[in-house]
Amino acid sequence: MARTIIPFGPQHPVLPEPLHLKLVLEDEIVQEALPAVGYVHRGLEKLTEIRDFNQMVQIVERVCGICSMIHAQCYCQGLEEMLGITAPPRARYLRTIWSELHRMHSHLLWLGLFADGMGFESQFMQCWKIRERIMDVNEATTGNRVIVSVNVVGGVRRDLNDGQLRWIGSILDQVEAELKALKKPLIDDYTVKKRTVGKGVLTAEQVYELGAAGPTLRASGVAQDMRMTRYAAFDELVFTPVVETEGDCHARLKVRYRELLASIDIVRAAMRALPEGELAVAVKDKPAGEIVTRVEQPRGELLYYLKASGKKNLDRVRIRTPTFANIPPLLAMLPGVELADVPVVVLSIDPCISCTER
Amino acid sequence: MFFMTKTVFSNLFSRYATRLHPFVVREPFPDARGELYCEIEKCIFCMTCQRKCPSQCITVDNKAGTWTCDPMACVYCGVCVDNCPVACLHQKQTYRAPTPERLMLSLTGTPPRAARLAKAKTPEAAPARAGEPKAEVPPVKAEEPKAEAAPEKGEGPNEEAASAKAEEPKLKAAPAAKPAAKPAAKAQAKPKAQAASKPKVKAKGGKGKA
Ligand code: SF4
Ligand code: SF4
Ligand code: SF4
Repeated sequence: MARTIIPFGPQHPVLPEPLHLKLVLEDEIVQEALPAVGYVHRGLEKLTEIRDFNQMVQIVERVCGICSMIHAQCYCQGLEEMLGITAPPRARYLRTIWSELHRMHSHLLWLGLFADGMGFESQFMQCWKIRERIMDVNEATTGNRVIVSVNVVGGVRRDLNDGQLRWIGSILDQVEAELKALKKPLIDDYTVKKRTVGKGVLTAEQVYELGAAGPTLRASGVAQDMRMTRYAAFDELVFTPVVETEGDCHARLKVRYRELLASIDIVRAAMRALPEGELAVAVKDKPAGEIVTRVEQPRGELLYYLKASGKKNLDRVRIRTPTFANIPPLLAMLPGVELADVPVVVLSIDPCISCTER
Repeated sequence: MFFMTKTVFSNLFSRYATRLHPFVVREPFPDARGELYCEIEKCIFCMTCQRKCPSQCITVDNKAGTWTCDPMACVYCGVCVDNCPVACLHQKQTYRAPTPERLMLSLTGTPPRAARLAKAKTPEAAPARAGEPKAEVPPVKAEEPKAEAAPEKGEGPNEEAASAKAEEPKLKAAPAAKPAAKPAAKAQAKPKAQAASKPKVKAKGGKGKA
């Protein structure tokens, strides 16, 4: 059959976000995928010209509706470095706790969407049911469910008391039990394996060459995680990246599933070791200089480039999000995949388009 | 999907995981950040909130003594609450009830300078409203859904001196006039708006608000 070009997205029932790909098909097999980026561009970086550097914390949080906390953490971390201050130890631990909670709810969201992408509706609901517990923790401890707004330049705005820590601990126990029960129907299931094993395979060399980030990278056997750079409380906590070697959609599923369990352990360890002390240090100067900071977002490495010249507005905020890094690997995964498997392969990189297009 | 069958059955015979929302509402968490309100009689019109708000939805006029917030633009971040020097800004634990119309939260108080002037000089020199702070919610015309809002125009949403009393019937009329509004929103908006306006009138805060 002759070549056909099928538009996949921006509006597609399987996509949580408006990714736009043009799929060049021959018969049912994808020959080539052409991306179109920019559908939900909002110009958030440009806002730095009219909002001061403190207000930008709330703005960068809105880059991503799922890992908002981690964006603000990265931004604040960068500015703190530029200003020559360090957030107090308690603030760094609290940031770690909240960012891992964000990773958990993001991964649970993704597990659900991935199951939905395969048509596994009951699993989708199950994952989101578990996720709701974490959302409740977010709302009870930070005040908001999604865009938690706990970071300020210099530290955090909210504290956790002993009662809250115990309550989070009990919620984590519940979540852990429910997650363990999820392993069989989600990871070991025959149908799930049929849909994911051997789909969208990338080797370790390929992902490295293509600059993949996060679980997409680690599922192909490259042990690279920004938490290994020991930001926030990771300099004192034990951390080992989760790695799988198959490089297919099933491996990416396993990486995210195991990262969920790892995040529970990190939150527990951080809560045990939570030091007493101040929540934030005062910021007196205006930032000046240039800085690049990185943190690990649920989807991979998040990079902020900040430039300032001692004014209340920053000169430039440049955000590189993990999905942007994962688009070239996605384009390499798609050729040779059947059209029916495209949703599974696309979702396997956990695309977050509003991040990518900011 | 065989492993899932057990879970499916246990879910089928256990309690719902969700609530029947408009009828069953969870107790809000004590620290939740909800709708913003201002105790205008405490406000010193320092404009800190206006300067700090990341969405720039607060406008303070320290000459006229007005404090205006666009609740539709507020992102519930609580930055203004943290920074108010006299702690007159607060957040409720619940979010604002949806309304089909764009309402501005506009309060009038006495700016400290005007109050001082009023004491020192003639009482007439002070702004007339300074004496009795009153609830004033001039419903700003909705920008986008203008066409839809048109039918109820005659009923007074545009009258300047919309007092707290005049507001209630309008609130009721608004959802009814718009068949597009979801029944859930309708059911919720009414009791909430009324409940919310009561304590405020009592508190003499001079805040009427949807
Ligand atoms: S508040 Fe959240 S869920 Fe609602 S429209 Fe915005 S991003 Fe979507
Ligand atoms: S910061 Fe507080 S006192 Fe100052 S203008 Fe705003 S509400 Fe009034
Ligand atoms: S809560 Fe945030 S967005 Fe809302 S008025 Fe206060 S500072 Fe502005």
